[in-house]
Amino acid sequence: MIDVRTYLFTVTYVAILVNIVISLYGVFVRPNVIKKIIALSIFGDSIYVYSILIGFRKAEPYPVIPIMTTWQPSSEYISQFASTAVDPVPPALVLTGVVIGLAVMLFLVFLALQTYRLFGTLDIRKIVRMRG
Amino acid sequence: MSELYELIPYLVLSITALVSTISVYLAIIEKDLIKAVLYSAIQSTFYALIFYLLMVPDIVLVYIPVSVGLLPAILIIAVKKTEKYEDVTGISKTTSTIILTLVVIFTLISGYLLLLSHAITFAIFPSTDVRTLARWFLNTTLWWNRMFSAMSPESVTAIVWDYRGLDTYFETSVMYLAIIGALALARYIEIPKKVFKEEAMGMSIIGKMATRIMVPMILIVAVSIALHGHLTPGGGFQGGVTAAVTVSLLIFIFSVYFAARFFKINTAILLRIIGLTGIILAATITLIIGFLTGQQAYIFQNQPKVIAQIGLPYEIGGNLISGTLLIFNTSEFLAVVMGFAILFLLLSIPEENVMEVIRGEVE
Repeated sequence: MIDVRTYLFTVTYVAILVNIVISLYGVFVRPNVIKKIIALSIFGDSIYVYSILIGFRKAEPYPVIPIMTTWQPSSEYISQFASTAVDPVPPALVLTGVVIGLAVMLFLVFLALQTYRLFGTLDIRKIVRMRG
Repeated sequence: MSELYELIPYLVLSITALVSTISVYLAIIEKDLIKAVLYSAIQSTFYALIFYLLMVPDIVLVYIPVSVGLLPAILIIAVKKTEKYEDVTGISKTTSTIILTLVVIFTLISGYLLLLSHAITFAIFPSTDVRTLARWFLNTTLWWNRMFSAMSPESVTAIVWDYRGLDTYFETSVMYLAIIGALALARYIEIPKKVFKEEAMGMSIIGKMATRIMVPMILIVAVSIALHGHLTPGGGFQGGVTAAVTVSLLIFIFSVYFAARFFKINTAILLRIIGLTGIILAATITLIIGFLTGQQAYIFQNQPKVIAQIGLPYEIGGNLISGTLLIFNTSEFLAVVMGFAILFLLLSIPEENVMEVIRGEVE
């Protein structure tokens, strides 16, 4: 008998996998550069969700956020906290990733705008044919 | 009945993921680019809900301003300046089928490998345990023994700055390089000197009045998120991107001439440099104190360690400040908000002025 929670978690996992397939398809096939940037941002976001899913844990009744609610904790409180809180390492990495992702997206948008100013189009097939 | 009640978060999680798949499909298939940007913003909202249900409020606070606020705003500016519709005629069906097959194979393999990485115990996932490293971080984020602790109840901020300071250092460098690149692409281009006219520019008076009320409130929330970063969900990044939303609001609702009254590009660069200096200071202040007093100290050190006995106080007058975390959060707030203010101002310069400069360069 499979646990219902595991089943629902697997549904989430597969849905994000489908998101990755669709966004990679958008990156490779759709010709417009802005559309490629949109698809790339969706791809990155799906990877962030995966990283967070790795840190998730099963606790009774539900895991807590990795933030203490007191600042003079007793040792019982600490052991209780460490056995129910989710993994704090993936949020820290994803936090860095989101901000870097935004900076890179901004730079890509700047490059796309500059391409449009110089070539007059954002269709990647036409840009490739022009050869600078 | 109580079992059903406990299932609700998991149920909402899976339904949200399925609905996000629909909006991703619509965003990729849509030919009208403005609509595609809006669909991707809807997808980001669902992802934010997923992050909330996975118990990571820090990511929710950084993800909502970034992916629902800033990125769609930037993409809409870019679409407005370039092509509005995507031309998809002439993509052969066999090519797209081959690419789709390759992508599906790649994703299945990488998804399977990721699934293996979940299996830290032999139990089915989600596992009841976390990794050893995470258990160590959770146990020592706030502890009676300062030798092993970051003295901050917020373990994510403690990891971002205290345990993994080098990550954050290079993250700041990447953002710095992106902004330098944007400034280099926009060299010689300046915001035209026009006087802002209340009646002639921007959106209607309703939008302007609402923005005038909203902007101070957003700024207060942003500063509170940044300054309480070591206590509650949030920190320098989250507060910074939230405050950057106000700059985009000013540019969208009023106009770039109105925003240029508050943020000159050079002033923004100067303030950003002050923020970056603060980050360097937070990284080296213990080292400087160590040099001055002739004791051993490390770079990125916060609390005293076994062979380096100095550190900043973690509380002042009964208020927890967690040593260098407060300095770091404040400077990071300043650096992030000013960096995005520069990028927004550069991005919203009218296209005619840009074309004049480019023609002058090319010919």
